[in-house]
Amino acid sequence: MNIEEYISSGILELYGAGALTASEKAEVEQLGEQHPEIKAELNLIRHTLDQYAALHAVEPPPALKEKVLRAVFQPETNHRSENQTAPANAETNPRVIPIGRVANQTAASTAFKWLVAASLTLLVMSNALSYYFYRNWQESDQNLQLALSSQQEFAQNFRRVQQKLSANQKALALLNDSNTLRVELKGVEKSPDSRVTLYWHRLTKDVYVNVDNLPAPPTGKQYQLWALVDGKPVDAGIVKSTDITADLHHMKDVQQAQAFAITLEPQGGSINPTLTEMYVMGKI
Amino acid sequence: MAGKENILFSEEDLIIRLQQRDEAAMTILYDKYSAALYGVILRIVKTEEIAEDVMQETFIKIWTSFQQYNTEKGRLFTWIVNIARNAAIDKIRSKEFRVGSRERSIDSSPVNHLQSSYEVRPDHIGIKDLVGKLNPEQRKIIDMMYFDGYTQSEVAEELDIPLGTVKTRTRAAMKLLTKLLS
Repeated sequence: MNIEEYISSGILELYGAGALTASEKAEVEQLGEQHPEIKAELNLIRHTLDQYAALHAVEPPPALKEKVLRAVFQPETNHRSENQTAPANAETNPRVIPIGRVANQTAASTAFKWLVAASLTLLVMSNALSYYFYRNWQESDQNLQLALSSQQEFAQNFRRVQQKLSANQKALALLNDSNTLRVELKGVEKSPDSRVTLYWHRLTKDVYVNVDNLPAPPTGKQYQLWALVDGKPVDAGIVKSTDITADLHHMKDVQQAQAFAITLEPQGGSINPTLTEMYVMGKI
Repeated sequence: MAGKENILFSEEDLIIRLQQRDEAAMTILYDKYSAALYGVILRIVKTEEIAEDVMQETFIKIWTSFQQYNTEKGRLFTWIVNIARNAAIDKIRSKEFRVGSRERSIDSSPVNHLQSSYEVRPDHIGIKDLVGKLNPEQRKIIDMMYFDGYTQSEVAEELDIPLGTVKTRTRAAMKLLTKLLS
């Protein structure tokens, strides 16, 4: 081993400044015993650090002297525990400070207080989190219910629209069919402005009614369509929906007819038309 | 050496009397070294109240473990200043200290008074003069280890330099310090 190199590595300075681990220190001490050059260098470093420490000297308060000396010579209370816990060699293990029984108890009760404080803090935090998550869950659940009901509404609307679409498609196909007859029913004396268009398919016998203008039926009354066959009225169905102008109404099949008329009848329709309540009429 | 020299007692006499459990020798030890030890402790723990507690612990420890002191291992002052240093470093690393220092308000901290007490000491070269000659990095590395109890690897980590650099920088700083103090 090269002593010069070892000395100039800086490890002895670290030793002096107290920056080595216990095993590193032991090694330095052992080498110091074996090599006088190392020991001399170590002594120089210690001396420098001693002087450096002394540079920081501050006169302690005068009252401290008596206090310290009284504590030192106080019969046994401090010292017994000191001796029990003092390390075998203060030089090799100088960091260990003795801890008295009182200090132990204080430390334990301090630790306990901290433990309790930590537990309480955790409890409060956990409760707060639980409440927070509960609120979040409730809110999410509400939102889900809203989403579900609006989804249902959409589905219903969609079905309604689809039904209407297929009805309208059927009606459109009927209207475009060259076998479909278009009959205009015009207002009679009672209601000159009324107008209804009727579509009648010669082959399928389907009848559709489109209300262009009719007074809204009073409660308990409905419009009823009549097919006039050889001067005799034959029931052709009731205009069912409340908003009568909105839809194309699919009526009963009509086998044959020379004319059509609509009268206002009591709810559910009549067997024979109430002629005084006729609103529109049209011949084929 | 700081503190009052007591010409009636040589260091050897003092050591022998302490080994014989002579209580009067302890008083002499206090007179001789209390300023140096108190200064080091104060430098480490920063507040006078805690420094006084650590002083007490230090002298109790010197008294109770004096049998472990061995002249072979070095001078008495080296041994007692290390006891003081370690007691103070243990104190600042203890939980009690960390909790306490958080509760203390900045106003009551005597750190500012400390600065002035260094300055008013006329009987040795001012620490400021010395510091002026050491570059800040060199002083910092020694103070981190000697006063703040950093290990070699903690210094390397804190200053973000390799372990080898910690060694060479410490050696350079120490050499300069030796020159300045001689």
